[in-house]
Amino acid sequence: MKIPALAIVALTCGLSGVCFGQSSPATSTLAKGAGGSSAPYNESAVWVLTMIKTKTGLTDEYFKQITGTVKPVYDEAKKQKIILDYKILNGESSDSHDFNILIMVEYSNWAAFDTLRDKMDPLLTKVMGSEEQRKDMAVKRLDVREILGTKTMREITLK
Amino acid sequence: MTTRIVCGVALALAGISPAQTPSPTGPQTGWQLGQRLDLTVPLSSSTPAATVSAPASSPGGAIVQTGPATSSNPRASESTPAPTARDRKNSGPISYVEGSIWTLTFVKTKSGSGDEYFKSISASLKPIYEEEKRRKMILDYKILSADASDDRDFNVIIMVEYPNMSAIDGSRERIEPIIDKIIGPAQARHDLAIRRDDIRKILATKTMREIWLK
Repeated sequence: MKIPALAIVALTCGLSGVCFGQSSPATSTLAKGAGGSSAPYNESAVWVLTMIKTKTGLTDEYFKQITGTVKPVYDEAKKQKIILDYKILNGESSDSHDFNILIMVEYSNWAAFDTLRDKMDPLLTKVMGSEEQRKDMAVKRLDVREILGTKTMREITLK
Repeated sequence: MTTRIVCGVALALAGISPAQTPSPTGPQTGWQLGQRLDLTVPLSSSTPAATVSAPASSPGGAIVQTGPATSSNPRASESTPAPTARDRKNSGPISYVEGSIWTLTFVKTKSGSGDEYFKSISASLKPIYEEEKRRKMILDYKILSADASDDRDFNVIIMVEYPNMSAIDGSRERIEPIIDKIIGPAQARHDLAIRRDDIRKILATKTMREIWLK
């Protein structure tokens, strides 16, 4: 029974570092100026960044793969307002430690991560199939890319 | 000498290299995300990419939109939002549609200096970017803030969006008059760059293309 659990974790990473495990986004996009704060900025949305390195010559294959998986999942998540937006940036890596793709997923706030998995799991099943299918997909993707890191950051607006 | 100071200040303003070409052969820093995970690998250098190529030959100080007529980025004109851009299909073999260009600057503020850094750029970077945005030299900019996991990790990313690669050509000649107006002459910019060095380090810069999967 450990294998399905591992598969879920792998799939979670495969879907570019979205932290499933929670849900419930709040409605406000921009939490402007918390009262009493001396911060020189206003808090805005929260972005999850996933830094990816595709294996040499396999970038197009990676994009084709995620076109059938990540894209419909994020599009549906956006439609259901689980996420606000997402971006995929493509560049070049300077060496084997550097990323060449950055996937950014925008959440309305930190609260959006609470019980996110409850919302995302049905969506994943709908778009990507059963747990077993998702595990197979995650394993296949290991051959074309490596996830170098993820980071969750708050967008800020300078005062 | 003056030119070198101007170059330095321009880079110090958050690692933007205004006239840099987005060439894969451009200068690289020794910092990569992967190294952070491998503690046995020493960091070879953490200095920002400091080489600025010669500006292109656009008229000095003129604000010229350099975007090519054939840009695939529907956001190149801010007045025309692109609600369906991501779903756009084309007949090419590539699995994505090319979008705008983002220059990312990865910054690490020194401990306890985060607010000071943000205050500093509020009076310099922000008005510059706002002015550039107003003049349509850039489409947008974002500042992301987080915690750094260790001394080689960034805690701020500054992202600047250009409509396309050609918008970067000769941008220094358009940006310098704005910097001059907002920050001051070369000496003032130099002083600001020196002061900012005390509160933050630029770990890396990266130029990337936004793509939309078909």
